[in-house]
Amino acid sequence: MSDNKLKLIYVDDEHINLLLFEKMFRNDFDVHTESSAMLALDYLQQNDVDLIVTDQIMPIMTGLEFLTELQKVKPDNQFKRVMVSGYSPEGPISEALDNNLLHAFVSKPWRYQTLKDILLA
Amino acid sequence: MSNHQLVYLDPNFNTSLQQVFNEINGKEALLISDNYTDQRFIMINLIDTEEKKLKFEINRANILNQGLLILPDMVLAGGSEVDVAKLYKASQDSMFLMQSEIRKMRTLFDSLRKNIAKSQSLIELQQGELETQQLEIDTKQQTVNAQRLSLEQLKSDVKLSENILEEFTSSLNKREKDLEVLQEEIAEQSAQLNDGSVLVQDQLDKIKAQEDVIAQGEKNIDELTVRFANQRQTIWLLILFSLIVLASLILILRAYFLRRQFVSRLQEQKEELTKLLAELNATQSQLVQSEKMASLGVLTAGIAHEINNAINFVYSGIQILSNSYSDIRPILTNLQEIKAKNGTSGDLKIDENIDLEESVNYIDQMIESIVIGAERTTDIVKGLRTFSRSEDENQTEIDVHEDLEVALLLLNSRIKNVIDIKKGLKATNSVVRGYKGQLSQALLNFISNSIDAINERNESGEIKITTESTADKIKVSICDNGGGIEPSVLAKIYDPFFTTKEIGKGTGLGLSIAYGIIERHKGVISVNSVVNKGTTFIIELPLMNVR
Repeated sequence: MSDNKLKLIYVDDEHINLLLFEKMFRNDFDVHTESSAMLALDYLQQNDVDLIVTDQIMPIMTGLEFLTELQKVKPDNQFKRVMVSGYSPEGPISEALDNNLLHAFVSKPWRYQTLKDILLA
Repeated sequence: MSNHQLVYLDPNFNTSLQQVFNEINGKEALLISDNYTDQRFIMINLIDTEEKKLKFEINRANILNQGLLILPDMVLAGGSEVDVAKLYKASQDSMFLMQSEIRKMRTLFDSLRKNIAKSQSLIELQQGELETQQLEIDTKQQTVNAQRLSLEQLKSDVKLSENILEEFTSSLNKREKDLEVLQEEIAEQSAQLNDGSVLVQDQLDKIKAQEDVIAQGEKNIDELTVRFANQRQTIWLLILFSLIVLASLILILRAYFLRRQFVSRLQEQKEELTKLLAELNATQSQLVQSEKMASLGVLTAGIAHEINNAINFVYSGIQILSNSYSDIRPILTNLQEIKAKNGTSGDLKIDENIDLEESVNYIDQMIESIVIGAERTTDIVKGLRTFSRSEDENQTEIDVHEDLEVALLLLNSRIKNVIDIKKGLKATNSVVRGYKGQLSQALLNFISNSIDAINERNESGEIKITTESTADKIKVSICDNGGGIEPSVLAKIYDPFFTTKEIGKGTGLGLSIAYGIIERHKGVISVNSVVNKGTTFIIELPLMNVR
């Protein structure tokens, strides 16, 4: 079973969110979670994934900064990049959506089915 | 022949021939006249000749016409025939002759008349000349008279001169005599002359005395001149003084007018200042309001993010919990069944007082409540987000009229049958610069508020939506006849979460959001409200084409 599931990394500074995400999607994806962008970058240098889900507002490095950095580190990656945030998709986020740094945006609180559909799309 | 008549006309009745004809009235009659002049009318006319012999004329035409015969015996007895045709021709000829004669006469008359006119004008001319000549003659006569007069005068003069001459000669003679007397007198007088020289000396003395008097007079004149000069100086001084007085008077007047002007200007400035102060106060309160809103915006944006995370815990958690519970639920149901069957939970040692079925139901209800609560919170945060939306979005052209229509369309289900919408979109320019969707949202919130205000009264009402544009602004007015807003509440209507509605009916964000949006579009909102009468929101937005 585990081999068929898409590999996914979820980055959020809120541990409860990480826990909830993992519990919610453990049957759908091979979920790996990190509590900061730095740790996620470290992980991604060692591992490949199919999907990246990240929060925007995090200490030290925001979600968009993390994705930008990732593009520098791994320019040829085929990751699907999705943001989940308590903010609305305006300004830099909508720009990121426009220039394909970000493929999708889901606002918090997420609904299981909605987020799953977007992730699998 | 019994009807045929013979009529004899006596010469005395020749004039009444016409009457006789009328009497005959077309009946056949032999008319015999006596010495009738006009042969045309006769049948047989008797004529007395000079030789006292009876003669008669018979009108041949009448005779022929009546089929009568003139026997040669009759002619021999002294009659003669008259041919009327000949007579007519002869008379016609003579008439023509007369007419031509008349014409000739007429032309003759004309030429005569002309000649007369000519000679008349000539006469007039001559008369004029005559008059002038008469005048000349008169004047000449006058001169002649005058000359005659002067001649007579001269004659009398000459006579007078002759008289004078005579007198003169006589006086000359007299003078010769006088001269002689004079010579004698002179001799006498030369004697008297010596006495005269004494008299002359006397007069010289008198002259000298008079000269003295003159000198005295001159002196007086000099004195007078000096006095006059003095007086002139005084007059000059007076003039100068009055000029100075006049100048100072003018200056005082000017100062007075300036002061008055100054005072009125001061008054104006004061009024202006008062007005400015009022405006300033209004602006200040607006500023305070917008400042409040701005800080609230920042705050709510932050809060929204935090709440979203927290609510995510709840929302996601409850979804997971619900799923997990679904997994456990069959076990609980089984247990319940076992417990019911055995009357005891046996080895599971469940408290006898616990009603498993009830607990299961409670859990279901609680999960549902938590989901509802989380969703409601999500809605509130969504509203807050709209209220505090950042300005990073791109601005585009927005037609306020279009946005009003969109808002009304969205509110259609709430409006129908109960509320009468009266539109008067009179603005000629309605394009503003702004954020797509937001303005529509704000207008929707205002109208929605009006609908709520009307619904609160539980009766049908009307909402008047009008627009008008000035050179640089569009004014949208939304006027309802709902319950109105209490003055104490009026200041708080834009505060987030402030609501007068029942719990669950309003988030208290509608007008805050609208306020935030209008603020972001550099617009101004004013509100007039009378309790039990209604509320009017007036939204002024700057037009796009003016910057």
